[in-house]
Amino acid sequence: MKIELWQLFFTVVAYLGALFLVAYAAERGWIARRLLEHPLVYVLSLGVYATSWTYYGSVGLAAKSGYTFLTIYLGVTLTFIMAPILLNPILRLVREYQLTSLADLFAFRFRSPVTGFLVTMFMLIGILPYISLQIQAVVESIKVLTGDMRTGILAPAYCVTLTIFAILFGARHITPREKHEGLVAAIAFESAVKLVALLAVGAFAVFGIFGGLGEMQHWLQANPEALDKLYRPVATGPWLTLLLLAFCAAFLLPRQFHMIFVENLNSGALRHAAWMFPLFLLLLNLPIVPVLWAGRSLQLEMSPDFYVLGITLNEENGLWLLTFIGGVSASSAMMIVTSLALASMALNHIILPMRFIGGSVGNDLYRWILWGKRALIAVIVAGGYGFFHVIDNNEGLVHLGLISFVAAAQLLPGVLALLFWRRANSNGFIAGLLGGALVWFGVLIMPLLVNSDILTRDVDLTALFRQGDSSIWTVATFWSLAANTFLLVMVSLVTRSSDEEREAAEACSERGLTPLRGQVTDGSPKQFEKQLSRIIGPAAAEHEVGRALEELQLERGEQRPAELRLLRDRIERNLSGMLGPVLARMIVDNRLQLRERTHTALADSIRFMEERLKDSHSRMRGVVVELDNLRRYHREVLYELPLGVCALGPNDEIIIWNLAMQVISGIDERSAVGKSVSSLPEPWRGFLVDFLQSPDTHRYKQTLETDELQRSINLHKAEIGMPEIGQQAETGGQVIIVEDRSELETLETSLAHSERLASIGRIAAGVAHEIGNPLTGITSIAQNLRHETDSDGVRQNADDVLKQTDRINDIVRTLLTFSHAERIGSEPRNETILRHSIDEAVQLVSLSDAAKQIEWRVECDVELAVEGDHQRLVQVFVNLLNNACDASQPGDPISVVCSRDMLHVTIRVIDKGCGIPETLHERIFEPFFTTKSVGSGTGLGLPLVHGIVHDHNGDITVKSSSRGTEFVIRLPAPSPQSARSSAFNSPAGDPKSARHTTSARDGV
Amino acid sequence: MREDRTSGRGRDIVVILTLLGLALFASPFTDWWARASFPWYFPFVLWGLLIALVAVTQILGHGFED
Repeated sequence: MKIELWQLFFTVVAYLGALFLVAYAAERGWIARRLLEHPLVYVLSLGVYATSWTYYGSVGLAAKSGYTFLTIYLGVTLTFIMAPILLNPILRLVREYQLTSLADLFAFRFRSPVTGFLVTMFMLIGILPYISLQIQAVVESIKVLTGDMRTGILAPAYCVTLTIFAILFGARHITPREKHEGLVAAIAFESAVKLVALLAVGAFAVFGIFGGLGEMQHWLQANPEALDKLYRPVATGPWLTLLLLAFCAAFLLPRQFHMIFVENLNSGALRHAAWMFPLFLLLLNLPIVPVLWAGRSLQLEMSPDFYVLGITLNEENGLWLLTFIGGVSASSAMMIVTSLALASMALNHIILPMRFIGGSVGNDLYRWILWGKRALIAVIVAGGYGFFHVIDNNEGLVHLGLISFVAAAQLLPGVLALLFWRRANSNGFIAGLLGGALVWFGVLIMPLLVNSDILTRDVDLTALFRQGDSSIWTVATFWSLAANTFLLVMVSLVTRSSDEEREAAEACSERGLTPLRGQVTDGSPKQFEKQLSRIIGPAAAEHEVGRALEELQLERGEQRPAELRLLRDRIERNLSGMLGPVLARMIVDNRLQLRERTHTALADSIRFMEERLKDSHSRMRGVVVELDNLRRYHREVLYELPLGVCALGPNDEIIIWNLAMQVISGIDERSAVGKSVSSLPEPWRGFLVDFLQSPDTHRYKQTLETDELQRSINLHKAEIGMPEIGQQAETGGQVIIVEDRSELETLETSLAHSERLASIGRIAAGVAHEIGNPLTGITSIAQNLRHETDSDGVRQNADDVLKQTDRINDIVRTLLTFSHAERIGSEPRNETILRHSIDEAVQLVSLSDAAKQIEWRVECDVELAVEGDHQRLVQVFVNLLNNACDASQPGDPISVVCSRDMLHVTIRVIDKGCGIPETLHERIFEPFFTTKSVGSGTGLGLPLVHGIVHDHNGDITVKSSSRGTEFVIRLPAPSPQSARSSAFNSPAGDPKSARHTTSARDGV
Repeated sequence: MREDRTSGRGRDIVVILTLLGLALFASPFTDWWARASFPWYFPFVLWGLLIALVAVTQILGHGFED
């Protein structure tokens, strides 16, 4: 079967094009976000770990060293078993501080640009062998398929193609900070292709070459040395060393770090990856041994590295194509992700720092970053090609990969120190890394260079370290890690950490709860933008400040010091995601400076501590949990107290503003806490400041006029000691308790009024009773005198006496009605048609001469009803209409207007009379208060009206001016369920109702 | 999205599983099964059992806790 080079080239381009479509579909949202965040997709994306090394090199390693090849995946399994204590803390740091690479992580922890630079340089150099391995694998596989040993343009063409696709996958957008869903989807797809291809080849090896598992077993029995060759190296080879190297590589290789942490779309997926990823690796490696034996059984004349291709080569079923695509998949995924990860590191820790030191990047930071990243991707892939081209590697694919593994392992001591040892500092880390790198270079790279005739001196440093037949990998790993760890520990112990390093160590250790310190010199987000624009350009500055404001839910006009401090911190974190933590800190420290040694407002510290404790609650253990629960309980008690609590710090900044305080003042907590009490809106500002400045510790029944109503308030004040927060002791704070008595006063007034009415009622009943008897006698005598005399004069006098006794009778009946009305409030009521009550009242009032000339206007729906007593309602209207008559002139209109809403029925009695002076409005409902001349009114009419309305659960108000008076009665509307009772009473004209009506026409 | 937190008990389980993994693949027990003439797929069986154990603890909610 003849395979042409151009066929393979187009296959590569077509496959990468298909990958790009997958990535594009994901970014455009054609693939559901839910699917992209699925743990299976995440696990498959981690499959970038399995490169050409796995695809081709594992068979070669199995041929050479038996089951040693499994260590590369068993080590990963151990890493992921430890994910909760090893990987999860790193994920937390990466997400919280928006770190985008290994170099970012170390630069953040050790607060040193040199750290980031060194890690970046070391990774760039250390990973080059790995990149060249991928190029070599694809080139060799093409040679195997085409039979053409000339490499020619193959490798550069492959590299250029991959560079273009790497840029398309990871550096296409103008703002390069967002996660790349497309990249994740594409890598997951590639892993699936790899797995399917290898499993297909494995199945072919078993069923196609051997003819089944049984046949393979027979072959094994015929070749017992095959099994022995598999198992022997486990005990004799560098098993433990390779296990350790794989353990480190699982998360310290740049591509692994990038996919596990930086491109993680769903933090919960890591827990699924703890077992799903090792399962993926197990399935991937299951075919390796059958493929190896299949190749052996076919006696293929090629490197075992390419048995995967070799056993499918002569088949017409096209399996070779799937196998080739699987190999391209493995290689391209590694190169794309690695070049993206390394480009990000190089940009943040080498290129941008140099650029910013030289001055600002001009007006478009984002475009500068994007093109910088694209250029670096090309440089890195070219570097890998250069290594491939220059180095003569005849040790097999795995050799190059292991060199990179040992390089990645040099970061292990630093990572463990970062997570678990707060004493470690940048000096120790740098010393350790340099020491380990030196050993790595001497033992592993120099022989390669010598082998390739780059170095002429034959210096074999391994001879210095090797004892016996120890493997080169054991020698390199042991001595490099030993030097690294020793220097890290010793130098950290003898040198001091800076304050920034200590702060970062706290942040990394999960136990840090240090409040943000200091105040920003710039007083507003607008000033932040102005300062930042000098370095990153106006567009980027506006975008970054706007983004941070949105994330913190702050307004552009924010001026509170604590919030500005948080804004500064958030801007730094966001910039860190784009430029790396070192550069971000440099920019923010330079442009958004803090006042030196400023007093951090206690309110800010307390709020910060509250927020951090809330976030940290699930991480607390033991007695700390109990203390935090107690703190929450006390906080809740204070917050829910029915009294307003306002706690102030030494500078009168508001620390606590509880729920009751918000209700009483109408000022929400967010607008109050953190601000000075002097910045509160009026009238509260003056009210509280005056009290604070006075020597009084209590003030009672203070009147406060707010927009809505007049409040009666008690104030209490006490001095309190301040807590020591974040090693900063404060002195002198105060707490104010605000007690709103308004409702209580209203109730007291109402009670007093009711008691007064009740006592008046009792007096009235007694007086009426005492007067009744002598009055009856006088009436009888006057009547007798009238009938017994013939004298007109005497008769006239008798008539006058009878008239006056009638008047006294009226007054007595009024008093009795008044006292009677106060006592019958609790009688059951029926639904009463208002129109009937009003019409009857009008009829009664119209009997007087003065009322005959009044124009009566009644606007009331004939079906409008209330629950009440008809007779008593008639009394109400009679009294009101009489008063209106008395105040009106002949011909004036008097209106009675009724209306209804959902809850109330409103009756308005309106006249155009002389009105009631405003100063008297409060008194008109007092018993015996009258403005009429002595003898013209008892002053009991309106109190009677007031009492009856209140008995009906209503209220009555008056509005009056010189142009007239309006009494407004509001009664509860009847409920829909209330049936019209059989005792439905008082149709108009009922003589009984007329007899029981008493008019207090001599009211006000 | 909620991040996973590890309780004290969860950490214990992680340590136990790690030690088990080391016992299977990085201890004298490893040398033993390498010499014991087991079938070729034996290491995969051990590996699969370890993975299954991790899966069961994760599904039951130990190790990682929300």
